[in-house]
Amino acid sequence: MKKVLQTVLVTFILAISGHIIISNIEHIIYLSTKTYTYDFKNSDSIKNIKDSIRIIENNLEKLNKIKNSYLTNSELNDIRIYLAEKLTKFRTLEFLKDGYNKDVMTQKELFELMNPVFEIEMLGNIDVYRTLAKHNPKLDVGQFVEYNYMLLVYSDYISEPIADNYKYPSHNIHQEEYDFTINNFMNFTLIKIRSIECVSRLVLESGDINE
Amino acid sequence: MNKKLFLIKNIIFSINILLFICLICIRLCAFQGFDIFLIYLFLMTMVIITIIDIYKKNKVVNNDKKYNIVFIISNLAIMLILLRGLFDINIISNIFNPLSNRYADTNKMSFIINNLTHINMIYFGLILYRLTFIKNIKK
Repeated sequence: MKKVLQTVLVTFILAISGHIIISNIEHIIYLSTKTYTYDFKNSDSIKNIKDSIRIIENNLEKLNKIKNSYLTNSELNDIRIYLAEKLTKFRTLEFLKDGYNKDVMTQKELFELMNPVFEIEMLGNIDVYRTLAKHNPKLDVGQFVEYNYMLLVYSDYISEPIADNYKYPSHNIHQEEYDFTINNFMNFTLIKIRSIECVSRLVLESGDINE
Repeated sequence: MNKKLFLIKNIIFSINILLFICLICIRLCAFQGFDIFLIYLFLMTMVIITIIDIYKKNKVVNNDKKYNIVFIISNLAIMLILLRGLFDINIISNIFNPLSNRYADTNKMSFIINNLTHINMIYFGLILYRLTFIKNIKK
């Protein structure tokens, strides 16, 4: 009886240990070989992002020349500093640099690419919008705040495959590759920069340039 | 041979305990939950049983080849999990915490949680196995 019990326990313990070892080896291979592909050279999204950066640069130049505005000087200065800061952050993004031609990347490389974009916080946009809404009653701050929080939700959705990387591939039901991740990430970057562009245009409308 | 196995078993077990303490220190395992409570319970029971066996020089248990080999293999598997939880760079965490302005180690924590049941089952099995020696000791 004792021997049978011991054999059962040995089988039980060794089965679990074997499962752990095999799953971990499988997991290590899965994580290190998981790749994402994206054509950075011919991507329309990247062209659009670069166009938006140019527009923001132009708007910022025009903002520096504004003499009369319904915004106070300090408000205008704060907005200028905010826009310039965001612009430099977008300019330093690695995948927007000329000559970036990495088509296939590992999960870690993708994460390093995504990381700086997620770190660009958009909550400052709400402050700018609120300042504009003080003087312009047509602007709806509530709706804009909702939009910004939806961006945060969207960022969670994009990073979902990376968030799940602690699971063993045999435990994970969604085993198919998330090919759409980089596309969604590009859209996310585009939406972020477009919202800054939009805010910069609104600020420009407050002054004498467009009159 | 048996002495060597006995030595290796104890060294691996103490390394595992040290790794577990490290995980608790960096707060990867310092959360409340039934699984972690069971781990503390089984680990402490296992530590007490092992210390008693060593202290009393229990030859029946200490020289049992099968027990030592099973103990070593299972603890090596647990060590693999603990080491990956501490050092694996590929388990990337992507949850950005704006308050502390850094990425939280949530994925590594989730990896450890994902494996808590296995660790519990192994220690529970080992304790049960050790209990089968009780009659021998009495004899």
